[in-house]
Amino acid sequence: MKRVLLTCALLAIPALAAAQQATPPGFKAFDDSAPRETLPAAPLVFIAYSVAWVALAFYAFTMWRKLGKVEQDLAELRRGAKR
Amino acid sequence: MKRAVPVLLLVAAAMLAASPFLIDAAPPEATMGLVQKIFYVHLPSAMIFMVSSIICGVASAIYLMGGRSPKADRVSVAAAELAIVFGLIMLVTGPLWGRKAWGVWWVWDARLTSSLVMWLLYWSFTLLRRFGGPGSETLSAGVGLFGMALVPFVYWSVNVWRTLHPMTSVVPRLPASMGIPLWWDVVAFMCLFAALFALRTRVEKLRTDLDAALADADV
Repeated sequence: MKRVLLTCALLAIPALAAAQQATPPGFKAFDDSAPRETLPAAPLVFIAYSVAWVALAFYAFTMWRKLGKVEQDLAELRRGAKR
Repeated sequence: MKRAVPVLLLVAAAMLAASPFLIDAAPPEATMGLVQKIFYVHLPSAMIFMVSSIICGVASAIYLMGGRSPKADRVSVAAAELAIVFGLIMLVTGPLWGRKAWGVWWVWDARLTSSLVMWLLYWSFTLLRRFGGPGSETLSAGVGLFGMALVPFVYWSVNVWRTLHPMTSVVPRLPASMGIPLWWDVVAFMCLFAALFALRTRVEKLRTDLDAALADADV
């Protein structure tokens, strides 16, 4: 009986060593009380709406300016043609 | 149409000024929380992106099959440019939402990839018109037709392929508390789109007139 127990214990040593090696040093098991990584939503929502309003306002502004410039050029050309 | 632009801009501005109050009053989604509020700007911009693509495609088809109409050409140019603007908003707001909801900024799935390809197609349309030289009108009209052909593919991609993106069935099933701010923003974006579209078409018309006048002056 002693021999059997000794054999089992000897066989178990490499298995235990392998199990210990399987967990790399520095990693810890999941703990419910540990703080979790959370990404705040508010900055993402703020950036999304800011990008939308800035893009639309910028496009409307550039269109308005382009329209004014082309109208001015056309009016100048027509005035020149009348002379 | 010239008088309609300021009216449309005013209506859009008034609606968009009221929109934050409606969005704030809407309940946060059960699993995503606050970040789901990006939906109220993401979906309207995606809808306008598709509307612009259809307008550009129809105008391109009319241009190609209807005797090279300059009016159809102007409409396709304006719609392509607006598809870039609203597509940009869609492509920026989507990853901001996805980062929190999915844990990643971007996935190369059918919906996101096809939307990006479609958006790049309108860049190619616009760049072709800017640097393509004589004859680029016909080539860009061909690109506009391909862009419109992508619309059903992009729309149904979420229902056909497995993707992280929500399916199209989400919108009809929205509770009223989320549906009202959404459709409010859709109407506001539509008014803004109509105003910008009219403005862009007018710029293109005047630019053509200016080119013709300059050509006459040279002769």
